[in-house]
Amino acid sequence: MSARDAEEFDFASRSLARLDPLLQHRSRLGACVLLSTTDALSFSRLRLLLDESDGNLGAQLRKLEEANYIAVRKEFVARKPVSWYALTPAGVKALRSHLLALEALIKGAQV
Amino acid sequence: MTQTDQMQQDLKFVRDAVARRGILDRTPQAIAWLWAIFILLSFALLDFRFSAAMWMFAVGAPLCGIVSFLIGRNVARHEGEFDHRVGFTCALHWGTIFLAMIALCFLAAAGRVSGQGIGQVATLVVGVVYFLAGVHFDRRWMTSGLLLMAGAAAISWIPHYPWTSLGAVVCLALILPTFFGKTVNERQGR
Repeated sequence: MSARDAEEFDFASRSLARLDPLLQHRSRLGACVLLSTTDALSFSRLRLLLDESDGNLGAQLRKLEEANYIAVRKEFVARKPVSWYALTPAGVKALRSHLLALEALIKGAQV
Repeated sequence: MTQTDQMQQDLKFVRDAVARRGILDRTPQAIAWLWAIFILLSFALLDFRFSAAMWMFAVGAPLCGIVSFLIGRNVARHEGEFDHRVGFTCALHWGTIFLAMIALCFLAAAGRVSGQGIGQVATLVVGVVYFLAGVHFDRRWMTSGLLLMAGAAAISWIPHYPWTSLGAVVCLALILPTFFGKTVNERQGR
């Protein structure tokens, strides 16, 4: 392996290490990206946008909630229970780091 | 599948989710109808009962503004999205009319504009604000804005019931798109 190859390998390894394991799942990353663009989204809106089933999305959002990346608030809208999800400051920070790591990884890739 | 391929697919998934959200380019129909009826009635009053028209604008317009805000907020809640920045931006945009009317009052008090000219300047300002709403929020406001701006000048040459005529045209311009307009998502078949 040449010195340049070794340097690129090292850079890629460091970038990969900075990726957040929790955000490496597409639905969790997608949910965080969508929530970063607005104050809050409802569960049904997230399900529509991510094209996920209730069970799968619920499980992914629970993991994000347990990691304190998102906060959930429940209320009634037209007598129906609605869960609102919002990105927490910890979630914003984690998403930003993850996206920066992704960007570094992509930039460092040879095309 | 390599890790790179997986990442590419995941990023495409996220891009698709963001694209699915579309652009919120449709004003709730109830808001368009509310202002269409308000304009029809208030402009007609200018021709038939001028003093009542002044009360209509002074009290009715802010009330319709508050009702519009509540409708917009309820629609957003039903659609499952909540963003205070959208409400704040809309309030700032439409609130410009209120600020402009205050300035116009001072101009009128100073004698710089009088009579029908006050109404024409007010209509021109409202037309500009509507048009810019079409540029930034919902394309369907553009037609109403253009009609108001053109009408503000054209009033000078309409001999009979000029304000009623303009009000009817703008009312139609606000209502018709609620039957034919499509959102970005609808145009993309979602």
